[in-house]
Amino acid sequence: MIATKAIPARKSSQDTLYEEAADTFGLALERLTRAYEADPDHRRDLLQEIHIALWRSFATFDQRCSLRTWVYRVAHNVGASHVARQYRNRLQTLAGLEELEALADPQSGESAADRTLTLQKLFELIHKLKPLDRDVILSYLEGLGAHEIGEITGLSAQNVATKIHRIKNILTRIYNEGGQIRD
Amino acid sequence: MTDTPQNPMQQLWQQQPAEGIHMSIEEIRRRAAKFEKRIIWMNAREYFAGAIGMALMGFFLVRAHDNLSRIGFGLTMAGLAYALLHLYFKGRPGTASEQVGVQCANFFLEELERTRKLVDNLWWYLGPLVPGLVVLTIAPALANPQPAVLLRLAIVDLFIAGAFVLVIRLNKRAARCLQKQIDELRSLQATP
Repeated sequence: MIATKAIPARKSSQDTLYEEAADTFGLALERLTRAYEADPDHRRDLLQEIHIALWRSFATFDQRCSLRTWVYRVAHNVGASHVARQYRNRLQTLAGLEELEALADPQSGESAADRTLTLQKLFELIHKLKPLDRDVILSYLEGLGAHEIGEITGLSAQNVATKIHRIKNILTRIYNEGGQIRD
Repeated sequence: MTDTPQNPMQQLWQQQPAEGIHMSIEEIRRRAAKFEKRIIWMNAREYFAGAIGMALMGFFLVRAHDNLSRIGFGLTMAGLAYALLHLYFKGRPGTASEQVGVQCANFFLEELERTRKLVDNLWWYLGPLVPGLVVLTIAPALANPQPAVLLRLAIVDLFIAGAFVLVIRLNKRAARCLQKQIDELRSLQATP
């Protein structure tokens, strides 16, 4: 059962905030959506869902965090709910960063010496991750710092630092497997 | 807006080709309204099965030949109504706009806690059905206390009890799994 809420018809600061967020973070939201849904049709629906959730969320945005932090929180939470709906009781089959770091094989023969293949490998890895680890790696890839990742995810500073360390190791392996990335 | 990329993978990630999808406020409002309608239908579908069960019990109540059976069907209907109401008030996921901006770990914890409570307290759903089922077993036994009838009723009762136990066990196992995830998440938040 899903909760519903009446939609206000008036033009307000909610609209202004949404427009600012969509203009500034629209491309980042598209990238995040790709990390939560591989199927293009479902991805469009998810992106739409994120935009609607974002617009609705600005009705209660109290500016206690930055606009960027808020936008990423909303996007990650909607994305995680989407993954939970997809997997239902299979959430435990998703892996943590520590498991993937241990599994990554630097000698795996296949070379991914171009952007597309390297990105494909990155997406394959992201799609295997548990929701919170996925939030951390996506925030890191978007260029956010450890403090802001902590603000978004609610993880302790020490845990964010550990996870980023693991992420860097995994990303370096993927990058090295692909050799020098070509356009 | 992102910080200056340091890692080549960050660069690669941020330079992905994007469609640059843009939706106007009017479009958002229109799609939000459509989305709301879809959710209403999804919710309605979830209650449809319960409504069919209640209608069936209502039909049997009207067609019943003795008062005890009528009481049994009435109690079962009341039990179903109670279970549906409980599901309505306790079964909402945390996707309302006022919750979606919280830190991801808290959002996820809230979802896990809600689901765990739901699957861990199945008596809220199964318990209200028990009085009606008991009365429905007693009624035919009193009306026709033949050994064959009693045996048939005992088999039906055993089957229902077995189904209850199986459902409760499966849900308890799911609740333990969810609790494990909750504990892991809490430990990630607690570490300084």
